[in-house]
Amino acid sequence: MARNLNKIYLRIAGSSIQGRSHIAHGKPCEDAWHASSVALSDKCRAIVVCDGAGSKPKGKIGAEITSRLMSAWLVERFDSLFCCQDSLEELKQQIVSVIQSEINNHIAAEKSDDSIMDYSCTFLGVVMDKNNRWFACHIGDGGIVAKNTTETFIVSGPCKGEFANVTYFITEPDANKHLNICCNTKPAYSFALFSDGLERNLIQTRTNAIAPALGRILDWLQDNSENAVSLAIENSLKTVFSQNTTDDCTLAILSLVKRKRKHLKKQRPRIKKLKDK
Amino acid sequence: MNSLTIDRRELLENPSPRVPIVLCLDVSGSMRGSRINELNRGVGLFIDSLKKDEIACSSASLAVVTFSTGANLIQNFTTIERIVDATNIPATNGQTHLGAGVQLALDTLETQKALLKQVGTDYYQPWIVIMTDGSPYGENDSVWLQAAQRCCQLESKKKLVIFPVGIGDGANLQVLGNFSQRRSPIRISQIQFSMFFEWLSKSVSCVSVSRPGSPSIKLPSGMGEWREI
Repeated sequence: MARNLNKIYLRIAGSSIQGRSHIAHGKPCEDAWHASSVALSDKCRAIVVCDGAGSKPKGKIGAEITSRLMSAWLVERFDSLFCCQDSLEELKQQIVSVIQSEINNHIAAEKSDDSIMDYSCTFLGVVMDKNNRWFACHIGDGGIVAKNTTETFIVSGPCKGEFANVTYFITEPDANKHLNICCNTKPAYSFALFSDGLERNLIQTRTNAIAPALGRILDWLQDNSENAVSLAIENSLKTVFSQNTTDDCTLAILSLVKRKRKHLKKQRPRIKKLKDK
Repeated sequence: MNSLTIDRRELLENPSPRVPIVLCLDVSGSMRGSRINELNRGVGLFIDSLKKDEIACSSASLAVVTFSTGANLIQNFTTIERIVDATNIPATNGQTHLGAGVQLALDTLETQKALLKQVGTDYYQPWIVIMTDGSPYGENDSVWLQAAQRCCQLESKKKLVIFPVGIGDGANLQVLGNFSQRRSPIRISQIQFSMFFEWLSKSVSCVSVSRPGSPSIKLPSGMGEWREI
C-alpha cells in the first residue's frame, strides 16, 4: 500500500501598517486582516483582507467585523462552496447577506443610528484545503494573486469605477453585482491578498504584469516559519512599500507546504548496516 | 533559501491618477488691457501653487481653451511640470463664442480620457472652469445652449465637475447658470483672479488625496456655496 511520504501544511503570514497620510491626520489604520485558526480546522485555512472606506466614520470597524467573520465562515462552509457552482449568483448573495447581517447585528447591539454604509469596506478572501482545492472572493480595490509551479497569475484584480476614487464595497445594496468569486480556475499552491495601498507597486495597470517581488514573496512560507515571514512582510511594508504610498498597506499570504516525513531520516542508518554485511 | 527582503527594483511603477482640468477662457475684445493681464497672472499663480504641492503637481493635468471669434486649444493636456507658457494668453479683438469654446473644451476632455484609458492611467472626475466677462456674442443661441446641455448631462451622470465664473459686472450670470445644475455661477472682479486660482489649486489638492467611498469631496472655503464636489 502506497504511503504518503509528505506531510502537508497550510501556512499563513501577513501584516498591516498604518499609512503616512493616516499618521499625519491622526487616523488609525483602516485595513484589517484575519486568518482562520488551526483550531477551527487544520484541513483547510482562510485569509481575509478588508480595507475600510476612509470617508466613512466606521469603515475600520466594518473591515474588522468582515475579516474576522469571513475567515471563519469560509472554512466552516468550505465543502458547500464547491457544491454551489451551478448557482454562483445565489452564492454571491449568500456571502453578501451574511456579511451585511453581521454588520447590522453589530449596529443593533450598539443601539446606534448608524447606517450600514457607515461601515463600508472592501473584501478579499481565499480559502484552500490540503487537497489543493481553493475558493476566492473579492469586491473593491486591492487584489488577489496566486502562484503555481509554472506561473504567477492574477486571481482577481482591482475593481473600480471609471474614476480613481470610486470603488465598490461589500456594504452596498447591489454588492453582489460587483462581487467576484472563483475557484480552482488554475492549480495554485500559494495566494497573496493585498489592499489598494500596494496595488500600484504589485500590478501593472496597463498590462496586468505582476511585480517580481510578489512572485518571491509567494514562496517565502515554503522555507520559513509563519512568524519569520510575517515579520519580513511587516519590514517590507515599512521600509519599501511605504516609500511609494501614503495609504495603509496590508499583505497576507496563504501557502500549501509539503515536507518529507521525519521518519525517513531514521531509516537511512538501517539501510547502511545491511550493505556492510 | 529565499531571501526574506525585497528590493525596490523588484516592484512595478504605475503613473499617478490624474485630475484632468480644462480652463475655458474668454479672450474677446472686452478682456483686453488690465483684465487679460490679471487673468494671466491668476493662471500663472494657479500653476505655481500646484507645483509647490507634491501630490497635486503629479496629479493635475491641464489644458487651456480660449474663445473669442471661434475657439482655440492653446495648450493641450500636459502635466504641470511641463507647462512652459500658458501665462501669455493674449486678448483678441473678437466676439464671444462661448458655446464653441465649451464644446472644444469638452471634446478635448473626452480625447484625454480616452488616452488615459488606453495607457492604463487612472483619473479622477475631470473639471472644466468656464470664465467669461460678458454674454455670448456672434454665435447662435442654439450653439451655447447645446454646449450647456452637454455640460449638464455629463454633470448629472457625475462625469464632469463644472465651475462657471463670471468676470466683472458685465458677465451674464443667467447664461452661465445654464452650464451647471449643481453649482451656481460666481462673479469675481479682476482683482480677485489670484484669490480664485489659489482656491482652485487647493481644491485640486483635496481631490488628489481623496479616497474611495466619498459621496463628495469637501473644498476649501472662500468660494461661497462652492463647498464640495
